[in-house]
Amino acid sequence: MQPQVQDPLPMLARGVGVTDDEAADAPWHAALAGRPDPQADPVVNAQASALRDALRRREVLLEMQAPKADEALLQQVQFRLRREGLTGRYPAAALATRWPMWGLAATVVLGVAVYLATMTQHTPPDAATDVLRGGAGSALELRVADPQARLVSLQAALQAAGATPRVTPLPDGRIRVEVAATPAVLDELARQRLEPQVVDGQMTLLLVPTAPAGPERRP
Amino acid sequence: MTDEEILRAICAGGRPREAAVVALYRGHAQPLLRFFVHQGLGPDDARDLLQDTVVKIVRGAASFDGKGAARAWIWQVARHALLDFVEKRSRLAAREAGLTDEQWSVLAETTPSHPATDGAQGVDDCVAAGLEAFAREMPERAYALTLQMKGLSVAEIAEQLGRSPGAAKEFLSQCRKKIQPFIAHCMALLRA
Repeated sequence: MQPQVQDPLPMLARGVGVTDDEAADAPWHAALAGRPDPQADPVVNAQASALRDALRRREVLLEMQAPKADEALLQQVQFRLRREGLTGRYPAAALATRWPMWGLAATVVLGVAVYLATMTQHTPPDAATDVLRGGAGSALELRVADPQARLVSLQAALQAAGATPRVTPLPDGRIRVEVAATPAVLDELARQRLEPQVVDGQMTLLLVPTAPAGPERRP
Repeated sequence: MTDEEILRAICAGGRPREAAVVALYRGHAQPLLRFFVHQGLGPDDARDLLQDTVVKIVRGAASFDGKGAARAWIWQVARHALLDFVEKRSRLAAREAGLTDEQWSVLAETTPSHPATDGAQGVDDCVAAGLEAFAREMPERAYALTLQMKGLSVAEIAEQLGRSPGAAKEFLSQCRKKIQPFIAHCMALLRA
């Protein structure tokens, strides 16, 4: 004959040295977890069971609202880390610990590598003078002295990243640049310290002149 | 990759850090997003906060002393990120999130019962309405009860709450008391 297995929580509640709080908690929490003690107060069991059902229904609703941890969101997280300089570069300390193992030849190679890395990762001069604004909607607004000149450098960089940006001149000298958010493009824009919002795989940048273009208007 | 290994790899920097970030995301992103939504955040805010949390974990990984569980530390960072985020978003929400247990107690005692129940309304609807009100005012406590409903152990709940097992047990006990003003009146419908 099999010994009868009892839920330990209600047993604890009836045990010696158990505080009033614990005695009151145990059957309620057991019922909430789906293990009601048949010998507990029926009202306690009923309340905890009703709350359990309500929590389960709420959980289903919230689960539907919770965003999915998909690859697109992972890319955004990685982008953010690169933008903040937390990934994509090797810390000097890590190199320093290996330094004694390297010979003269390695020193030369390292020097060249560091030089190249510095050159390729340096923020372009254009980007250094950009002023970022939130922009309307999902567009990232860049206030620049010369939108046409900035467009040339931006377009070249995007094309080098394998993208074909769509360029639309707008009134008042503004220029809209739309480009697909590929990893290479995201990397390139991150190098320029730009992080446009990605909407349906597309990003929009708005080049805005710091001074209005065209003849001055008088009222 | 365990959580401890993830934090060590993050500290190492370079490619190990990049791999660790992916492992961190695979293991924790979905539970964290769910947690943030449970705390009342919309989907967009939850995504933003996930980014903030990962950044804080990467920045702060070196401060993990290895004495406690890495998973508990990660969740503690997420909870702090949530508080920072809420503080930025809403002064009122920040005030609520910063209330002490004593202040919560006063709030619960002064919260009126929810009289929108009549004979026609069932116990389930009454409890559901009470739970919604409770979750709006005390989202962390509602979340803790959800974890218990799902059958998590006190130790597992403690990790997600960023508390010791003893403190988590006490917190759950307080949750039972604090939700009473919101649902106790529903039991009258049972007797009716």
